[in-house]
Amino acid sequence: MNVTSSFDGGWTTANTNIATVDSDGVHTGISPGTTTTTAIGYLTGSRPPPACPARQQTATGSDTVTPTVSFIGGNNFIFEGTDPTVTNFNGQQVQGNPSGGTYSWSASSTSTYNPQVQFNGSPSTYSTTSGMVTLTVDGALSSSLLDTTLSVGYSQNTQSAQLPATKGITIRQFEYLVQSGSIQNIALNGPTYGFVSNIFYNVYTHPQGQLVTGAPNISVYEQVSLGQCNFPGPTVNTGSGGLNGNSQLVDDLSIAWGQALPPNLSCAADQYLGVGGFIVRHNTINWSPSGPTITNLGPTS
Amino acid sequence: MSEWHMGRHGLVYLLLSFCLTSSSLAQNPLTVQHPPNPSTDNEQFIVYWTSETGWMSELQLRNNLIGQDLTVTPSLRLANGNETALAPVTIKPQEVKSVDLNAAIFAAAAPQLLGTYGSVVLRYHSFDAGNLYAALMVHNIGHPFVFHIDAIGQTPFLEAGSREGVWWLPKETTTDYLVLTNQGNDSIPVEVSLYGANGKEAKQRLLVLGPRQTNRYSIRKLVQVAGFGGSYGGIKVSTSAHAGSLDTLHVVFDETAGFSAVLKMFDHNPGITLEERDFARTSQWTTRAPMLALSNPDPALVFPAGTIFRPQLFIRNTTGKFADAALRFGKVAGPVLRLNPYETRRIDVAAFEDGTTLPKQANWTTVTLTTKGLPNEIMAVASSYDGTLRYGAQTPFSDQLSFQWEGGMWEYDAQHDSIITAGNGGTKTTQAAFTIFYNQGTEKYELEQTLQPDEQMWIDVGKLIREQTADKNGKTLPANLTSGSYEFRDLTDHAIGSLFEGKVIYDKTYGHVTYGCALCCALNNPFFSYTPFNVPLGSTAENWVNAVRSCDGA
Repeated sequence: MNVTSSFDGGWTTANTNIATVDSDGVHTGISPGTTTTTAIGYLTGSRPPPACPARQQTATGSDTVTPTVSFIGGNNFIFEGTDPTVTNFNGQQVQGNPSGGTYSWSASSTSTYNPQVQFNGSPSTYSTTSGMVTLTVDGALSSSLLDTTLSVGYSQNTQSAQLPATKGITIRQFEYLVQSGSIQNIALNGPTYGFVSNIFYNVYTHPQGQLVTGAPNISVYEQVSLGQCNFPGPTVNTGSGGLNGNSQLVDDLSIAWGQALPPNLSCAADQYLGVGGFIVRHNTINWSPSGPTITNLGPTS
Repeated sequence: MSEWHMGRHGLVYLLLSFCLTSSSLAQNPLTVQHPPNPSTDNEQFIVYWTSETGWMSELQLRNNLIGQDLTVTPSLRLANGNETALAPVTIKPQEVKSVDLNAAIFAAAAPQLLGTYGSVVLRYHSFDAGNLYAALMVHNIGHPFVFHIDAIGQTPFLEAGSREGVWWLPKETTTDYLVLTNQGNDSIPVEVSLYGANGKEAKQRLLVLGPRQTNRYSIRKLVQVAGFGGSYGGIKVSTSAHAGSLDTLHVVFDETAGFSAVLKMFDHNPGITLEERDFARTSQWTTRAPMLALSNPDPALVFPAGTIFRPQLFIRNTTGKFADAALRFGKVAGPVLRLNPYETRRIDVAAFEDGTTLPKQANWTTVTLTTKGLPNEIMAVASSYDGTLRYGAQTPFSDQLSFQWEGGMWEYDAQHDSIITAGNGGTKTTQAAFTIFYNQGTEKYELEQTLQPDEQMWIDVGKLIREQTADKNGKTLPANLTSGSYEFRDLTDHAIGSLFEGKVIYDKTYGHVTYGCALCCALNNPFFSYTPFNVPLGSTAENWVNAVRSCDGA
């Protein structure tokens, strides 16, 4: 049974340069090492029945003050893929105390896709003296949120942290786009004729269709193939670059021709859009005199 | 219930007590790791049993363990130390079993144990000696005599010490026994000294108590030889070797008057400190008698009309120096005494029933004695008998406070009832829990009460059964329930505790009342919750102290 209250004020440590203890038994680690705690209090003591004298009794035990390690930076997710614009968001940072030790990184996952996390391109367990690593996963993602655990051990001067730093993360894969707002069209009326259109897309990842935020400049990809048009020689310009500051994919789509557009303009194109190396949208685009109409062929979720 | 009035308690005839508390002679990494409780061979001893004509002895054994049977082998020792084992007794958790020693002697086919006396040794294998509560009831057939004798353990390595008592021979027809028992296997040199009330000493010849032997003396004869006048004085039984194995008992009885009393003796260990026995941390030694019957008997005792008690205290200085003591009746200060060396003083409590110190019509009071001296340098015996000595009651003094008391047998039937009490002997309010165990310890009935300092809770077990009073869980005791065991726990202070206790059982068969005592529990071998204890650098972490209860291992 807990009799701590009888030992209030009776706590001491043998080496206060290693650990101190207050009157209630709360220890503070001062420096790595081992020392001894003694607690003295009064209990009804051991004597043959029926005597129960109040006796000063002592509890002793060893204390080990150990280095600590904790995460100090990084998201609770990483993006699948090896595109450098993607792995820029896959950094994780830990800090050991005292500094100057060695970190050992490892990962485990309950994902049904069995993702293999690499640290600076190396598999688990990865040792480094740097507190910062970049994680990559290629070919698999999480099957549920936070189903992958990062674990970082830390050793300094032959002593190891009692507990590793741990963090649950989600391995996210760019999956689909959802158009945000209406298509913004600018008509070109000479000397070049046609339309310049801006279409904004929000980017979603799996698992569980999470909106991508805080991830600008991740590379985007666009491919457009012209289909049948009722006028000759149109040109289609496609955009490139990365997600904008709102982590949206902005499709700068233009179609142009050297003459005025026919009143019965009709032109079709097939479009693929990608983010971070993953195709996330397949569209059919049909231009009419009022501008383009986009039909989403998927994926939609 | 007021301490002044306990009218509904049926305390009838004689209250005899011999409670052996206050004995200074007898003396992981990240999970909480409960240290193992290895079982060892344990022994407790009872100073006296008898199968002499007219007497019978009943052994009461209670298993304090939780969830574990306890097997006890009683052995009877003759006065010469020869020992005979009786049949082992297996007791279920919280169960209390009664063993009629005469029947057990016949069952063991041990005729050498008939018509004689000696001591008892109880042997059992468990993790702590406190796993067993044991007592012996010595009855006289046809007379209202019952002596309650608690079992005690030996205190190894305690060499010098003494047993201190008072002698009281209120009538010429009063008989007495002073029983000396050697619990151990080494001879004990014993010196008996008698003292007159004024402290004058009459040393007796040195005697040697052989291994396991019991000697029985008549104080009356010794007093006559010493030439002491008066009806009371002091007794000192001292030794320079193996004091931890010496136990004594002093009883008086009078077949003519129908009177008997236990004159409780106390250990006096010169090496004991106040710290060990100052449970309430008041910087003074306190001992109390929780139920002193005053001049006007409680009507519930159904004594004959006109019965008037003479409540009195015998207070004795066991040392060769002056000793100061203060008495308190309930919460009201009583006389302050300065005792001469070895003096025994009789205090007439009735004189304080003057409406100032004690109410004139009060029935009961608690007597508290305090002294700045060491524990048991002063000892006291309380008694309340009428002028014929036929009716009366006793209440034993004890200094013991505890966080847990494991009680023995209570009884309730057409011939018996049991009154149990616990009080707060500390200086702060405490929450007391009372539990009745029954059906061989498998069921329990629980009550709780907040107790202010000096306040007591009273439990009339028969009344709880008769009136089907619900416990804190809404449970009632079976209407046909007749016996069980009990427990008190201090829910506020788990480590030292501030509860004192008492129990009386009155028996209409013989027309007497006996006073029983419970067993206090100890806390042994404190240990940390976590060891080795890992403290992260720059962070804080809390460790805790745990201890194992000696009674039940929790």
